[in-house]
Amino acid sequence: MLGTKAERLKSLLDLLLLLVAKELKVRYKRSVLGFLWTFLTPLAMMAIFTFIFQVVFRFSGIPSFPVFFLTGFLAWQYFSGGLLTGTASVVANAGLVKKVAFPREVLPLSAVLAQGVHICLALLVFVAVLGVLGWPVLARLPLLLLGLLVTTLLSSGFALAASALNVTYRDVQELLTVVVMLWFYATPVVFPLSMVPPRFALLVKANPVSWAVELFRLSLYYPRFGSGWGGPRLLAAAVLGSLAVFLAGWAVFRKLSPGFAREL
Amino acid sequence: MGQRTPAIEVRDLWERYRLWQERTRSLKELILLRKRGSYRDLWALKGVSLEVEEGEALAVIGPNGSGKSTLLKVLAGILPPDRGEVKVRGRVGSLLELGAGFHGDLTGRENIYLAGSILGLSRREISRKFDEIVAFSGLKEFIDTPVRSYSSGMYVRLGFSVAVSLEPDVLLVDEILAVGDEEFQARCMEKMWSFRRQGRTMVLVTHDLQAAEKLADRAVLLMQGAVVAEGPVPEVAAAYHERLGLGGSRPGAPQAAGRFGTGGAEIVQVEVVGEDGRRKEEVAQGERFLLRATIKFLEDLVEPVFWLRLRGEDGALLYETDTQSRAATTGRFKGGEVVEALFWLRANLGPGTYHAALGVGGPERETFYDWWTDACSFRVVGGKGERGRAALEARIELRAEAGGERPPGEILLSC
Repeated sequence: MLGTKAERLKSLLDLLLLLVAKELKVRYKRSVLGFLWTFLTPLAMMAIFTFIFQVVFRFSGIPSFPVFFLTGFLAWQYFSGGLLTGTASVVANAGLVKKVAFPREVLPLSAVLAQGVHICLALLVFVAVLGVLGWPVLARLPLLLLGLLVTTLLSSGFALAASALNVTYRDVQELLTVVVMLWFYATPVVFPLSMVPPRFALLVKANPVSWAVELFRLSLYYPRFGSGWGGPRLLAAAVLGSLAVFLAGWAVFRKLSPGFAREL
Repeated sequence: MGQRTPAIEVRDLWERYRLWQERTRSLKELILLRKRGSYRDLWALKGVSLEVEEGEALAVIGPNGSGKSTLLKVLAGILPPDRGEVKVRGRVGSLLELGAGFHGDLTGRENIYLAGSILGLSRREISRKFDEIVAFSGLKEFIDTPVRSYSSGMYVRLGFSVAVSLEPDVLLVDEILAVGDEEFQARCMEKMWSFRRQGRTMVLVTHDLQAAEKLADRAVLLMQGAVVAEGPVPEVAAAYHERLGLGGSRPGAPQAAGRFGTGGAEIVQVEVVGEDGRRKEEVAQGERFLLRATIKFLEDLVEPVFWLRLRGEDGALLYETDTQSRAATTGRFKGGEVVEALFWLRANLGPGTYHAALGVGGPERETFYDWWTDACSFRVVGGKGERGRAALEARIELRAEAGGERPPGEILLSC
């Protein structure tokens, strides 16, 4: 009963999964459209941006714009949705944090993973539709899984740090809604990385969310695995970078979490 | 006893409690004004040391704000110790709040899994104990209903049932034995007893000295964050009563002078004033009057508590009130500020002389900026020759009953 390390890890995993299940259940318990919402947002965004670029601007430099947009947007939606809900999670569960001793990490992590479940469902439908339309979706599917992993690490890393800071400075949550909006346009979701002028390219590449977006595109949109940024270098940057972000975020969280019960 | 390793070891534990005066929580202020709010760190626990043997039950008693709950939170691992050392051996279960982790939209069943898991149970363990938990709660027919439709009693019962299913080696209980109806309370008590019989260690924080005597082997008395008495429960309970009975005199305070405090404020003057606004020393029974105190603040203070205590000539406590227990917030005062504190009273007192004590204290109810035991005295006069300290405005009547010569209901006397 005392709990070996393996047992404790198992019950921690159980807790994480139960919390993810709770998030999903609670979110859709009293909603009519339920999981459909997961598809409606990206579809609406796709429709708007396709209209702006192809109908208003008559821009045709990006082949299959809707597919281009959706691959990037789903990565973005996972990252930003996880970050925003994860950031609020510790403060939102103040009562629990003050009264029960449990690993506080599960709060932001479960919020991010719940968002991940939504995205996976959306991807499932998206990939199926692409397959029916004749896209070679299966060829580079492992890259999509890697993309999901990288996005999970990135979103979790930022959410861990932000949720911990949010305990002392509630402005973090407010600030983040603005930051996320700007961040969206700094990420190659509506524009391709290849069109960014060379002097800004490094800046865009340094944006961690670009790695996630590019990995998604590499799996589902770009015709070839390619070399340079499109190939091994991107993979290395994404894997190592996202791991670094996650560990840094976790370090911040671990440093601040003992003080949560007092600060809240 | 000596050779066994204790289940709980606390050595010289100091724990801060942060009292914010102006809480800066915005980045704007942090960056632009470069200040992070001012706060005072009060020590909620000041060098507490204690040991609990395996299988022993320890009751922690003491007044509000003495640090009992803080101690429990440190033992539970919710608050890290600021100084000193805390060792708890074995799996810790804490009943600090029942129904922690419940979500209203989820059913009883779903919440059992969720709350159990937050308390540290694995999914398999919960499945194994599920029927037992439901049976203990007595909520079988509601188990697939969202808990938002539960009554508060049902909610707490389910919470308790999940919490005790944890089978901890060390159980921490905070003032929760009084939940649910009598029948459920009896079952809770029984459960606590079965924990004891199984040789589990228990620490319970309580105001209920009777419950403490029933369940605990030993007690410690916490006052102002320090252990002031330790031993068998009845003895410690007696020590507690004694200290409470002394009332205003706090340990270490100069009793003879009847005046003590940190000096954060000063009660300059106290007067007895009639409804007409004139000073007086005599009040007619049943009359409204007021005690008017002039108070000068010598430091910046936040949320000071204003106290009034009345005693009879023999020193017996007759009446006590304070602004905080009336759920009033008093706000902030600057050093140098002078206020009048008006205590409006009605003299529902028997004839005699009465002494009023006044105090200005901190919001944690542990320190006094100024306490004045004999701030003023007044006499109550009048009445109808009643005796005793209370004036309950008796009226005495005699009425005729049926069966006699007089018509039934006739009032023979009213005085």
